[in-house]
Amino acid sequence: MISKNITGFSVVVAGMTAIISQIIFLREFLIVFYGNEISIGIILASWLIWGAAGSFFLGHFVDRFRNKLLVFALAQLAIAFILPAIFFAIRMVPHFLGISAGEIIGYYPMIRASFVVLAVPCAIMGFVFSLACSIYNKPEDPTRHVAIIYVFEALGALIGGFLVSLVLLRIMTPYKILFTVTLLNILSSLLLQRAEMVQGIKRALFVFSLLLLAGAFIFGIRGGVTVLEKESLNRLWQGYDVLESVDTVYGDLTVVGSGKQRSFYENGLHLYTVPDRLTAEESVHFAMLEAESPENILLIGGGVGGLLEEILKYPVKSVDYVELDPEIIELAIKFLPEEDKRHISDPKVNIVNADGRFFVKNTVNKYDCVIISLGDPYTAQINRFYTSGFYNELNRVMADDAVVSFVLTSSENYISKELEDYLHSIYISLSAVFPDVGVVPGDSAVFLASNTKGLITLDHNILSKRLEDRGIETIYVRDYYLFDKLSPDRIEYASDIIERRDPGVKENRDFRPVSYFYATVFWGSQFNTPFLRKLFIILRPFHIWIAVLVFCLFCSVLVMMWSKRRFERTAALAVMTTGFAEINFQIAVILSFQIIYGYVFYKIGIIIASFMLGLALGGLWVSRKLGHIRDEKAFFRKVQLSICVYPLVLPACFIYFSRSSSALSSWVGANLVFPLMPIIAGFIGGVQFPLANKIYLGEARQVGRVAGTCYALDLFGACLGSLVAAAFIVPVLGVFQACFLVAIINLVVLFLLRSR
Amino acid sequence: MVNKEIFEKINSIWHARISRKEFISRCLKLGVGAGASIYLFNAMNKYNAYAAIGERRGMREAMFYEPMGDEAVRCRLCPNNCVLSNGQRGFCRVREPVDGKLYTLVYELVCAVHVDPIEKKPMYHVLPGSKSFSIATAGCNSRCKYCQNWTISQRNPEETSNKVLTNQNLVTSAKTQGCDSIAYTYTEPFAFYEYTLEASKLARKNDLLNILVTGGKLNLEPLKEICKVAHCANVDFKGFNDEYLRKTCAQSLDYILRNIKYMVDAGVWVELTNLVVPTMNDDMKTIRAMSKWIYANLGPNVPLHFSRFWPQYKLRTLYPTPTSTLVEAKKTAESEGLHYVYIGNVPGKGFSDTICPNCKNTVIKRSGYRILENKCPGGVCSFCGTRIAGIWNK
Repeated sequence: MISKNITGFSVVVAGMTAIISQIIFLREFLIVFYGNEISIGIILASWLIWGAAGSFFLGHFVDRFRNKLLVFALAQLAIAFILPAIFFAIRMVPHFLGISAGEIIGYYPMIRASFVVLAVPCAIMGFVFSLACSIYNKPEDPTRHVAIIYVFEALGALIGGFLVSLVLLRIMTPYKILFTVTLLNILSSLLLQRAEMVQGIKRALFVFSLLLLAGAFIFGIRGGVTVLEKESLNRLWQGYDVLESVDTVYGDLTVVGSGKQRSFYENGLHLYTVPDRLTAEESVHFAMLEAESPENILLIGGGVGGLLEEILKYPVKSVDYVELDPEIIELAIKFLPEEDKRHISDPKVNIVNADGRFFVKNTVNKYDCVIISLGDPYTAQINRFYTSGFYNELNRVMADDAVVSFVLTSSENYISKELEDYLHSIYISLSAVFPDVGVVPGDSAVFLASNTKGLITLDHNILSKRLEDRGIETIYVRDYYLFDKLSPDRIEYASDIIERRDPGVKENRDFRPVSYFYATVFWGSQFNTPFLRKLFIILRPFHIWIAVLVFCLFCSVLVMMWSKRRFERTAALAVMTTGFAEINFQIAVILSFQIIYGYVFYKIGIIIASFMLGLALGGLWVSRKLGHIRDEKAFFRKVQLSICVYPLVLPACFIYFSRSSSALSSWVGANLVFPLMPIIAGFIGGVQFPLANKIYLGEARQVGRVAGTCYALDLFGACLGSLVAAAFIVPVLGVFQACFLVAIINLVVLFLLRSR
Repeated sequence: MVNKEIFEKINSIWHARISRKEFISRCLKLGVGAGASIYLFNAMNKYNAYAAIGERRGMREAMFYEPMGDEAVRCRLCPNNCVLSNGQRGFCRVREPVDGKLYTLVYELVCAVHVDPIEKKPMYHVLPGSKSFSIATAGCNSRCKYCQNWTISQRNPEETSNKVLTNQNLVTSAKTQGCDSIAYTYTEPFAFYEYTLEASKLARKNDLLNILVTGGKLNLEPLKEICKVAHCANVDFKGFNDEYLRKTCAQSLDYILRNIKYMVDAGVWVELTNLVVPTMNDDMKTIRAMSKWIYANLGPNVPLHFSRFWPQYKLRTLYPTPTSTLVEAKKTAESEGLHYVYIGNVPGKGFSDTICPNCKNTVIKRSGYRILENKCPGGVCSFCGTRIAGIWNK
């Protein structure tokens, strides 16, 4: 019995280890790969596929080990030492790939690197699951204990996820967090070894592990971790002069120096350089010159990149500067020279540390000029600031004759098809709300829009005159520059392409955030990968029924191959589609929450955690119930039915809460309904997994192997989901259709489960 | 053991006994499935806006190649010296052999046409304040990781949207738009060599200047040919370090130096541009060595433009060049005796003004691409009468 409790503890540790290392590694990888949804998908997919491979292939051996507890102990010992090494390896990736400072990495090297680096740790972690199931096996009731392992693991993930995102990241560097996990794993391994009778070679191992623990502990206390962290940081930023790199809950912020110049990076992406007058002037002056006499300004992002200075050249009354991460401002104050940072503390400037959409939703102020400086929407998160939904919200806080402006990557001499799709989708989203829209052409396109028709002008004479009349001194944005930039030839070229109607390009909506898909395709076009290019071209006019058809084809091939045990195998297939579905649910819920209520870090954390909680609760419930179910097949069908119904309820919730505006309903939505939705999703998954396991196991006795197979299918489904859900299905089909698609896929599986 | 199990499994599937009826039904299902997939794939392919791109115009037999039987050719245009078998595309993306004959795919087929101020090329010592008719085709024989025009230079002509612009129409358009020159720019004029050459011949006859804005990657024979018709060139002298050129641009220093010297000696008016990329080619030692080479081999009168790196293309996450680095580079080059050293894109500080090497007065004052003051009509300093090198009259 003692050994059982300890195994339970070790499985909790394994669950914690998995989630914490996943969070940390994902963050580190994103610095190397630049966070767009495809790179996130690639990293998660390689994580899950190796986990699947580990639990499936290594799981095949599990039932043959004689001393499973010892193997478990050894596996945890191995994980303890592999994790810090992997961390180092991730930071070495640019070095391994021969990437020079500032160079972006293509998708193929990205896939190669993440698959190679994550192979060993993830395979071991997947293996540990099958192993634990096998250890916990009791002959009379094997599958119940698979459920318990599942519960323990989910519990570990819940605790780990909570700890790392709400506590540890605020007080520790990532490497130290990982090192703590290492210590925890050695400790757990020691406890496991103690549970066995220790003698002979095992005793030697025990002593060895004890020494390792002590050694690692002393190493940590004496600052060895800090040295390693610094070393790895230099490898990651090879060629740069890194002044500081901090991890906040939102991501990694790094300041690089070159002479007197300071450059700010967020998750490896270049945010801004100070001084960089050209960018700052282009971001600010077009907007300010278009407005009659702008007094109240809203600036979303970019303030420390010199934009405040440019805005304050005008006789404004107030500037509300919204910046999500307070650390950006801290870093600016720490590293910028006096003349560049004094504007941050100007009495007219009111700094708000909040999500821009959250602020716009809740403010009562009215603005004459809104400047958005958040860069290109490569992620769903940033894309929220370029949807027609957001422009509608913005319209509400704009005074009469007000102007909105933002800058996107473009190309001066030739706008490619990929770039055209991207810019055009933003253009139509903007035009859907604002009656007057103009685009200043160039290597960066300045988008200008107004709620008054006829306000926006691209006449360089008028703009130059206004500049002169208002007495604004600039270096770049002035007569000679405007003359060249706004030459009729260039304006005509760009507007011909960006404003030309193209029915194949969709509007960027809150619940169909397609622009970040276009932006990612454009990003991908930088690499010479004809295959991906063709793939994107095919995916562009993608339709929900195509996905359904492909899945049906896949199923019919499977069914043709299965001559016996059809129900059991379909149950295993259901585990896979559920894995796929759950990822889609998570993305849909998180995205919708951010759209409806704005991004609040800890609330997103709660949504993720409540999913884990649901998983654990579901597992727990079913593990108690397993013995008493009379008709397992009928019960399983009911569970499967609930996965078909759930995604149909989701959109209804989203629509209801996005439309209702009363304080009560928005409180209920944000604090009750949204956290509750993932609990239900998790619960269904938690119930289904052990049940499928039991059905699939049937009369056989290879608990570890079967559990490994089911777990692998679960992970494989999730892997597919993470590859396509956020990067492709949600933006192209939209949240609602994505939910619908998941419902249909699960319905097909339900159909296969029908009784004969 | 595991292998055995898998083997048995496969075996059981393979040797499963099924009735004829079931066999036929399975075959039918599979056939319908496959048919539907193929139909779907084609339908999706048809229904996309990208499909319009991909036609083949602009084919013309290429110059400078050696046939190697009916199957292959060796292209002799640029130092890549690609050996290509039929249907295989050259490194430059725009040359391909068909039946043992090499073709250029972009003859009179442009993807970018704009009218730019000549200062934008940059050409500071050629007809200041005039307009230049600028054209480009897809493709390039270099691979610079910071290319501003990567959406065309790093694309095959099938992947860009093009239009036919015959030599005659090119010259006529340039004339009607009031341009004094034609610039072969944005991508690499030596990659669309045949077009550049033929258009230049016609332009020369029609009193238009030909400006090559090039990376300078070409073999000597074709270079000799083109120097007969080109008036001036801005050579992107990307760096004075062979390893950097190889890694970042797919170029090599030896032929770049040879070609620049040949062009100057052949009487083509040459201006040089050096893009200063932080952490890569921004150390003053290399810049000094480069300036020394220019002085010794080309003389002090060849203008040198230092330009600011901007995060672009594959170097998207590198920071822009600090102004101080550019100023230092300018000082370094001037201290080596070069007369005309400019900094592009840092306005307001006189870095792009032309100073008379004799009396040190500012003879041409520029702001961006605009001329504010011109005190050397006809290329003669109006303060001291010194001749300023360049092309000042049509």
